[in-house]
Amino acid sequence: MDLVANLIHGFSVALSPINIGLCLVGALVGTLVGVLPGVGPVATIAMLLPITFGLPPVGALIMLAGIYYGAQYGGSTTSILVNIPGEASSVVTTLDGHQMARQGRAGPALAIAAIGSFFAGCVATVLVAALGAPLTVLALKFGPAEYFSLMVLGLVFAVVLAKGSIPKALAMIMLGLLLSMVGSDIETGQSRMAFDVPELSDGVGFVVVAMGVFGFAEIMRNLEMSQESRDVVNAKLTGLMPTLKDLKASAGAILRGTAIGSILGILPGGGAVIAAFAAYTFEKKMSKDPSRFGKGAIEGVAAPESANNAAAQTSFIPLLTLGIPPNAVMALMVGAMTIHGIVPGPQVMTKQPDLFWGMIASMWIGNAMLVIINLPLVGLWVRLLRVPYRMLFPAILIFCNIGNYSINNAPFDVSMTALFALLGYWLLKHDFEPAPMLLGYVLGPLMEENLRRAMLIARGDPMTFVQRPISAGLLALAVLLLVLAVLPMIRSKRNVVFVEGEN
Amino acid sequence: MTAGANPTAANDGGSGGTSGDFWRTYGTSLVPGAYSIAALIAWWMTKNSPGVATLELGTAIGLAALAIALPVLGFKIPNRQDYFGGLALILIGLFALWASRDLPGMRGFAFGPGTAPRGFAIILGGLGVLVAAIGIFTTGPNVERFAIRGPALIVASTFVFAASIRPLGLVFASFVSIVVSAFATTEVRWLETIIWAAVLTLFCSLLFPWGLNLPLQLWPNGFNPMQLFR
Amino acid sequence: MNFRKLAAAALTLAAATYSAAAQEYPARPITLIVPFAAGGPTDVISRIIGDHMSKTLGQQLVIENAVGAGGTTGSTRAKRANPDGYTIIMGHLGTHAASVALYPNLAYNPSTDFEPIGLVAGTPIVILARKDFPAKDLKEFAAYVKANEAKINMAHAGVGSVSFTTCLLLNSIMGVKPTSVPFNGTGPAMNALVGSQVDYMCDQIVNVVSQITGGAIKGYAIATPERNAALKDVPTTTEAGMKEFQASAWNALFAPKDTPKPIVDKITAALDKALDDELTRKRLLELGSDIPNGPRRGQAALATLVSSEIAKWSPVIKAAGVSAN
Repeated sequence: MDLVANLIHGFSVALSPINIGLCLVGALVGTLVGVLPGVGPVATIAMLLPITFGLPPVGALIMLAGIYYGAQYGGSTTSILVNIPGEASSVVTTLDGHQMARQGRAGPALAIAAIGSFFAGCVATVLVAALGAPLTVLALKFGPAEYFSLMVLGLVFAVVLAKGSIPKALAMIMLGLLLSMVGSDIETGQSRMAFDVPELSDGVGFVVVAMGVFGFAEIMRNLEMSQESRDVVNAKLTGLMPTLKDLKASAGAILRGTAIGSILGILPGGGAVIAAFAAYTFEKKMSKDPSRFGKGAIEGVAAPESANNAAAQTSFIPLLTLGIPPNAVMALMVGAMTIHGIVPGPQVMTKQPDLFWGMIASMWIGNAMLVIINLPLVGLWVRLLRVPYRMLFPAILIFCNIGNYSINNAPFDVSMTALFALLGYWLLKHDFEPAPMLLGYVLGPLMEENLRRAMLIARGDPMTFVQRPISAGLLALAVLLLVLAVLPMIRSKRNVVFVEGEN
Repeated sequence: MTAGANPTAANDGGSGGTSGDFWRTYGTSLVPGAYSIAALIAWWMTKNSPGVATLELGTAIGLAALAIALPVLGFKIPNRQDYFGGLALILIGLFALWASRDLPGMRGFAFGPGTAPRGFAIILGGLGVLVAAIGIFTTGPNVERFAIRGPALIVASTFVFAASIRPLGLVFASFVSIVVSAFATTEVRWLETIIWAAVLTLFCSLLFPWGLNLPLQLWPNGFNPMQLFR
Repeated sequence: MNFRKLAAAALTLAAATYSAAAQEYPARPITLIVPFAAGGPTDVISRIIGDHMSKTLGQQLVIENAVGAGGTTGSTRAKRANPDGYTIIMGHLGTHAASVALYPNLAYNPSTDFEPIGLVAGTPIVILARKDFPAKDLKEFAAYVKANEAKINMAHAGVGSVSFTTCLLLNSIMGVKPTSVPFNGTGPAMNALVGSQVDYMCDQIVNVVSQITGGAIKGYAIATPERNAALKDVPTTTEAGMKEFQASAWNALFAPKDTPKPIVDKITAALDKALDDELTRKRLLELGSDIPNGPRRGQAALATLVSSEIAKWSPVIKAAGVSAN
């Protein structure tokens, strides 16, 4: 079979000592920047681009790809340990991952994230190799109408993943949507709700919102706890590795997360973001006891982590087959390829087999390396949690501030984060969940822009959303899910009213 | 948006302590009363969009009615967490509506820049009404006490970092902001803080500019007050 | 005279007094502000050129991406920086020409607030259409767009982007005003074009070579006087009968106003050396860039280019009635 021969060729390229070394360096650097809140792969790859000038192109790209998926692994660590999601796809990981950490189960959470990511990475890599070209067709079927419907579905996920009151979750989504409207209008360039502040002309950054509302607010809440109650959490720290029971519970979640992530990752423009949310929602709906979710269910870590790693791998498909970068990191990879005189696109596979298959093989090797790097690190991370909190939190804060500043070199972003921290603290006190807000914030622009594009292209005919089959299917699924989510609430509300009536 | 949420945070901070009884009795009226005045101001400042103005005036009247009705009926709010939360959402919705009042709406088949923000603002306000209503008609917890020290010093330390990173460079900005943030907890110890801040500063100065090659300046290059705010 | 100007003047004076300072320049790393995201065409060009200039100047050129508002955020920051030669900016068609008409509240004047250092490279614009667009050459394309104006969708990468501005010029030459569909960057716009969701767009050559050679989209013409080595089969607009449409997304280095002349000269010399370097040229040419030759290099040529580009784009943008804020 061609595929096997190609893969063997790929491995022969990727297993050369220099390429293994570069892959390892990339994976290590990626893990490091992923752990550091705010820094992220975009800034790092940009900074390392000139260094790769001197390397052979295959090696350079293997290293940069290593940074990319290394950062995915590292990002989950920060989400779980300190409740700071580095990017949209790890918001979901914080929900159950950080709860597990608070219950002294940081070790199993980190380990299952690494294992799930590894499995997903392996499967998705094979998928990229075997089905890359045919899957591209799917990505091309998605026009503005389909993306709009997908985003509607994504917002329904946000309702489902909320653990408390549905009106409050809906309100949080709206708040997120409103926040995302700050900035310049895409069609006319008009400033919206930016009050002539030039720094707001492109809106509020994701890291600013996520770091403030999740991370900083979490620190504010922790500081309220007495020293003793925090020590109790530390003392509870049990086993570093997941138990057999954990593994059994996660196996299905990892499989389903991988499948969902692999498919959604192919869609440029928001697919990878939705993947983690979709996987989480799916697990919650599948579960016999959905109430455990949000309170430290291990499936709630396994599914989204597998999904976002699978999506991270399959998002290479549009890049390799069409030459179109689906996200900022991939745009940088295009930059890296062009610097090395490679034109990304359909010809890469045939004209540069060393590069194409070498990179695919290296993805697999890289994922294996990451598990080897990350599993022993679990012990180290967990030990870090034992540092007295009065010393730990200033360190978290300063890493956040420097990382946040380094994204745009803008002090304004850092100050804004402090304000969002206050908002997050207020939300905590009033029992509003920040996760739906963040999802609304991420999906808002995608939804509005695609809605407007679709309406422009259809010349104002809203039927376009139901006449196009994929779009209609997605909308139907959204309605179904919403009904499934709202029904139990109405039923339980009736029970509450009934119980109160008796008293 | 945050600015809209903060007044409640400050107000809620008053629960407990000597002013507690006063707050407990009249807070549920004072807050909608204050929001009603805010809505009136928004209405007064809205000149060119009659639709938005009507909504603002309506909100103002509704909130004022609520503020008056509660003490008149002698009604005690059973679920203050949702009640105040919902009211704040109404305020945020109102603020967004006001902030997007002059953006053009639909033009033929094309959406205008103002369509989506105003739509979301109205829905948010509506959900705020719903959440506040849940607060009025169901029982639920009171709002937890707001701490002042922790949040204030964390915000202060972040501001210190933001203001000093450009003019003073990474070393001074990190050191000072770490020291400020350390005082966010009562467990702080002077000597330990200074040493720990020095260690962290050294670590950051090595890691970010050197290890990660990020373009961060370590030291001030000739003091230039002009850059303080950019 | 306001305080900022006073401070700037004082610094210039200080720089002049210590003439040794200019001779010792550069004594520390130089910040090169790139007002666009890392990985984009401007960023890649900056990194390639910065790599070589660092060798000549003996100090690292540190790239600082300051993204926002079509590059005007970064340019404003550069304008306000100390004019000591330690902050320079990679300007661009958008930031230093089109911005004048696009942003009524622009905080800087591209021709008076900066000292030109030199033109770095131009990236030609290509006219593109979906692969099943029913026109075989540029003439037929123009005729078809004109005849079906109501049905046609033009994609662009957002108000203020190069793809937007340049397509405005194309539209005004063709005498059409089709529905313009905004995307968030060239990537998504290209995806929609490959998927035939929209009809045509204009984009920089770097982004389109593989899609055209791979047959995923059609390239009708390249808006430069000469054909490009990266796309040998695509005719120039002149050959295709639309010589009025000349557009290139040029990148050029600027220093803040009042940067001492000897320092600017030093940077210009380093840029020239980089543009003559074999390896740097090869890298830039692989991007499809057009490297300026003798008369188009240097400070005076760039100053002329900036004023001629402002004069060229302003009426087009004003006629289209768009403005960003």
